[in-house]
Amino acid sequence: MRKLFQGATFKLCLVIVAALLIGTGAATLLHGKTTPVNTVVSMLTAPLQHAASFLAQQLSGFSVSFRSSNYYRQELADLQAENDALRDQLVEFEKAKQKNEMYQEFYGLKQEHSDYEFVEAAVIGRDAAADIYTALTLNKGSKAGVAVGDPVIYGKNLVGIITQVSPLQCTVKTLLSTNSNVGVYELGTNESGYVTTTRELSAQGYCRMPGLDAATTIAPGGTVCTSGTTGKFPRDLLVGTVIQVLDDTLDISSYALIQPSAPFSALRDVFIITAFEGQEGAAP
Amino acid sequence: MHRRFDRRAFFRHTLYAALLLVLHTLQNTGGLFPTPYATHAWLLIPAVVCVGMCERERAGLFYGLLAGLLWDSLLLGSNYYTIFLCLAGYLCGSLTRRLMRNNIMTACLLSAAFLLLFTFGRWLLAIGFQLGTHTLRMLLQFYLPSCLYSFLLSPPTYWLVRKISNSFAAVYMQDTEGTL
Repeated sequence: MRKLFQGATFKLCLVIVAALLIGTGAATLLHGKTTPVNTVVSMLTAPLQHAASFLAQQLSGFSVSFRSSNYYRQELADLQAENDALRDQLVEFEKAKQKNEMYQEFYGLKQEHSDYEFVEAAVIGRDAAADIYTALTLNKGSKAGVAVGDPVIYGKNLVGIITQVSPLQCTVKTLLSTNSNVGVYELGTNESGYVTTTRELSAQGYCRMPGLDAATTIAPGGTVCTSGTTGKFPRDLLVGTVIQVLDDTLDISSYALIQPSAPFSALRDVFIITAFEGQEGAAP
Repeated sequence: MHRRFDRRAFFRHTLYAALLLVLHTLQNTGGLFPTPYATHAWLLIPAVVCVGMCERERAGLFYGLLAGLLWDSLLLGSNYYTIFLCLAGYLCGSLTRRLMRNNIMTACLLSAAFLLLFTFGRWLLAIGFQLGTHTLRMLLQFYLPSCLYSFLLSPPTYWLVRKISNSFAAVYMQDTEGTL
């Protein structure tokens, strides 16, 4: 056993180990943390390492890949988590985009009508027993300054009118309600009238502007806005677009079939106008 | 010295160097060698042990030095693997010359011994000599399974090294009467 530690080869081994230890110590002290020999060897083997990495990448495309299943399981879990996070971000982005668009319209409206006072509200419920959006529940009530009779808008589009108020929420009767009655005029021809709807038209998502003269010049594509004459709604809120002008069945007048501009099925955030100039019942 | 002996020795040593280079590449390039259950094969350790056993202590020392430098070239600053493999190559060569036979059983025995020594040394360095539940889990989930995996590859490594040694040593044994 003693012969293991004798001989020229053993002394050579000691010299090599001592040189390695000194080299490591010197590299550490010089803060370079690299020995010259390591540097040279790494430079010489770098092309081989690059080639091997390239080969490994090419082989990873094959169905038989020398990676453990744990690696792929972990990678799958990481990718799924990343996908979920990105999906959440996308949802948040879409929401923020919609809000931004709404606020841009709101800002435009505020610029045009500085007399309006608004309360932002969110749709928190619909009548589950109804198959059409005749009534919506909003998350603001009298505590926020909402009162019965306040108009509700989505951007510049008229949604409806507040019919019931509690301290924390309120109910909106929309344009698709058969009880709705909004004073309007057509922008192109200035013909005035009122917008209401029937059960049949409401089910299809339409309103009507009855009582038009048989020789009316209102044409499809025309824009219908609130007239502001009744004091219930401010002037120039968008009600909808004329789809068709048809003859009434009850008398010799005509009526305009109107597509409301507010997207009732997709409403999430709306504004309630709590005060405006010319509001019915408001102090002069 | 006979010219045929020099040529065969040259081929033999070239093959050993190429073998270590290939094993280094397979061992340290992700995706090139199987890694079942996230274990790694330390191919250079049984290779140096086997070369040291077949070629004796001086060749074992230099091949340990080569294998260690290749392995340490990835770390750029540590000579831990170089020192370990130098000593492993030298000791295996010396033990085979003076105390042990050169066969697959002793090759497996020496591979196991140096693999275990390497495993615990590497583990202790990795944990900074601070034992705990987490560090024990590292030992049981990675280091010991990798040690076992590397040990299972020792017999084919010995077979390959012995094949190279026998293929290019036959003429030498016939032509010379001296020893290494």
